[in-house]
Amino acid sequence: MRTLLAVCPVGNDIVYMVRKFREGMSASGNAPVGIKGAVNRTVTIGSPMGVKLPAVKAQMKHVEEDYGLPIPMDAEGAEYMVMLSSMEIINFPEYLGAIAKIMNQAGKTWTLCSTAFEATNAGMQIGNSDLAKLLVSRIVDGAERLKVKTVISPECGHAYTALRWEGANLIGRPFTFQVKHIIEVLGEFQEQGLLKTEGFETDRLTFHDPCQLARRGGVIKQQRNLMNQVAKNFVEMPDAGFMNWCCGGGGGASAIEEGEELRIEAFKKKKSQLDAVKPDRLVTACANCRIVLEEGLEHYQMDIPVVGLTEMIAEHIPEKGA
Amino acid sequence: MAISNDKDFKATLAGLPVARQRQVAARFVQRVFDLSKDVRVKAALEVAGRADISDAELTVVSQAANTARVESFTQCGKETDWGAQAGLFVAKAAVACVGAPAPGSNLAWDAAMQARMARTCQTVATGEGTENREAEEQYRILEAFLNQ
Repeated sequence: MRTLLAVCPVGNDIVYMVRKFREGMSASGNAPVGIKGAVNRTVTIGSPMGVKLPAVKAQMKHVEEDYGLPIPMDAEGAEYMVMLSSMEIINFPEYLGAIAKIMNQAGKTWTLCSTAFEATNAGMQIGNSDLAKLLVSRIVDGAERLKVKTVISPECGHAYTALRWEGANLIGRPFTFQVKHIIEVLGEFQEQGLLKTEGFETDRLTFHDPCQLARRGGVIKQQRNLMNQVAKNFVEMPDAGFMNWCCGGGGGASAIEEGEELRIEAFKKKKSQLDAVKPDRLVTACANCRIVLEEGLEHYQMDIPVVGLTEMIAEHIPEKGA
Repeated sequence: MAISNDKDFKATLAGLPVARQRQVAARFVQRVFDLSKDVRVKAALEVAGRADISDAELTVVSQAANTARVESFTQCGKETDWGAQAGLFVAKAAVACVGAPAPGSNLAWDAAMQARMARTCQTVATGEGTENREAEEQYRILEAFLNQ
């Protein structure tokens, strides 16, 4: 769909059309059941996957033990407020550890927010602007309470779009802070010489560009510069970058039971990209893409581990005192 | 040798040869195996716990444990079942036990941390909060392993 947007000869905004279609289906009560459940949990608990603050604190404690670094929460005046998606909290806690390691080396102050740790915007997923606005407002309130300069959107696709590109319009006023994707922030640290790494990955790596980050968000160069900082053998898949093919889970397909067959079928395109370059590992920057990619690789029996870019960068940061 | 903190725990594990790391890692994961009960995880732990494992055996159980891990992910938007989520971390721990170690990695530490996360998921699921004594139990396991 998003690739169609890029090539439509008459400039139809197909993404916008689908968004309106979703809104209509939602308003008429015909949204997918799975996403309705996620929306209910978002409204009542604050997280589409039912993640509550105690669970976040459990993750923080675990990461502090694993990495030996503090994970701040509600630190007023911090430069960065880091958002998480439920997927990261639940499935990839190592992402938080990677953030801690990188921020520590860069000498930047950062914090989680107890009232706005969830980046996922279920309102945008289901096509409900009022809910989307409510969820953005929670983040804005938290960021303004803590007086942070920048809110970092995590490795989650539509969370970035919802906050970065649509959030101000949703709440009807400019933000008092900047919004950046974690990959944008890492790119800035790299440019400023704050990202000091050692060693290189020597196996054959390729990068899957998440749709929301690259094609919709325009973040394309940064991940490549970051890859080149820590990888000796980074190869591009055909159609990489702006015209990259979706992992198969976009548009909510990863969030509904009925979407499994579609995801597996759509993955054939990703498979063809991977077959062309035969990587040893696949790197990406979206928690949802990671799971969809891993499912597809398992289904087609392709032995290609998937890793997150932020974690890979953090692995090359020397241990303190080293 | 008494171990009472993570710094010493991690350093001691790092000093073990890979085969010994696999064996002690398997013991860490065995402690939380009841949170998974996946036969592929069980097979991985049995292989990792042996001194005489071949690369071929490791490859087979590693692939199976990885499949168990992938199948354990909670999908986007689904309500989190913390009990089931513990199973993901047990599978991750098992993968750490039998996977190919990256240069400079500490597979036993990785397995230990994933096992702790599994225990944390269990205590979140049962409403006991996040405090548990898994770390201390792991110190005892390592001490016993070194003393045998």
